[in-house]
Amino acid sequence: MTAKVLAASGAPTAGDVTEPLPWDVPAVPEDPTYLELGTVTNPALRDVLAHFALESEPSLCLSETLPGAVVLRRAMNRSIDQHIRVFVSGSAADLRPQLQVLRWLASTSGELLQTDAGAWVAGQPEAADDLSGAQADVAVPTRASDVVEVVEWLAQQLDVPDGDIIQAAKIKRRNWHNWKNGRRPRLETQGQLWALLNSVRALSDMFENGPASWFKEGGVDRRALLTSGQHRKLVQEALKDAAMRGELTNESRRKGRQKTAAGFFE
Amino acid sequence: MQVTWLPDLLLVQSSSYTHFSDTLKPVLEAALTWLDENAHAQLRTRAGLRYVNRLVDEAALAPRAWQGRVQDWLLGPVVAGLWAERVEQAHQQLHLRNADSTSTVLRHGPFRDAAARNRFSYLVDLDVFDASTEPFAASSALELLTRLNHTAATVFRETLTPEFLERLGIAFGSAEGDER
Repeated sequence: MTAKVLAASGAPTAGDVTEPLPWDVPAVPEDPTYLELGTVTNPALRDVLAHFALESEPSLCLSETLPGAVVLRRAMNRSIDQHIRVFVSGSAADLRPQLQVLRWLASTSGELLQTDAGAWVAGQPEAADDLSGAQADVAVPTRASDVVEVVEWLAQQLDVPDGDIIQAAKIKRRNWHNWKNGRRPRLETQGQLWALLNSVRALSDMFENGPASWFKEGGVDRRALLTSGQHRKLVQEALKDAAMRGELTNESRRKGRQKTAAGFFE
Repeated sequence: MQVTWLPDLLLVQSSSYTHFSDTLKPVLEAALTWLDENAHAQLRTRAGLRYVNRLVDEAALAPRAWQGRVQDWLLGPVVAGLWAERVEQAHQQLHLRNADSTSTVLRHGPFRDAAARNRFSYLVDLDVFDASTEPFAASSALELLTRLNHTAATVFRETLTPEFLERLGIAFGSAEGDER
């Protein structure tokens, strides 16, 4: 984002006029490396860590706040002395490759176990069916998509102006205009666009008719979360809303939408 | 150990850490290799290691009890100045530029710890990370994380006094060639 300020000039000299100077807004501190506060058992330590957390930090407290969000559950390999929990969040399309990782996690040797995918979606055989059906969403851009198309898709999904997406992804406006004029984008100028795409894809998967209505219901607060780059918080809000509505555990609704929102292995 | 997988995030978290090579590296190596081969991950937008160290001393009746263990220049008002006797809690966040393109954020300070007879424990929360966007490759990501671990170990050692490190059985100085 670029703003302009007027240069202060206490003693103008000949030919010296007050000129606008380019001014870049100072960079905000980087988000901390994620920490799931729900797993910190010492309450005093948890309070201190939460106190330190930036407003923009997405707090991963799924284990603490979303006990009802469990849709996947299976005991891990009994030979492991550590308790391993795996959270999975995302669309059914995202889940397919994760099943292999989960199988790997269950083996102490690090080798993939030859477990039938359906067995991992314990008690939810229809979830395995969801996997095959979820590959068809071709309208969703991927990282191979054109950057301009991605921005426009994101704006359309949330029903916001392109400017909000540019701001949310921390992309400089002049780069955005350059891309629209056909200039090839460099990787380092794309800001948080791809992380934002992942979040909005997750939101799109959660709402049958797209996330725009839900996003608008949140008013200025939700828009502020977006434009300040806190898009993961939006995903967490949506997950919490879905959990409160019982959608994550209501099998008939979930099956009907062919979605898998969140879960963990314990 | 907990592994969290969100659409754009892989998080490995353990509360029973021993060494990087034992606790984290095997899980990271396999998960990153798998990502490389199967998940079609194109970009890495951030990689970080975060060590939340809770130093406990049930005899620490005041924050300044950590003097001599944590470096004085980090303790600041806990041990110096008019308010040293009155400090109940003092937290500081330092953002450090590392020698390479990575960063370190150190959050530290004493806090009253109900789990330690309500005495003062000391938080050393070390966050080392690289926030630059790069094409994703498992080998380079693992190499980066290994390097970040060395940085974290070095900063941890520089946070504490040589005497306290000796009591903890940790050598003082750079962690180069060593691991934490």
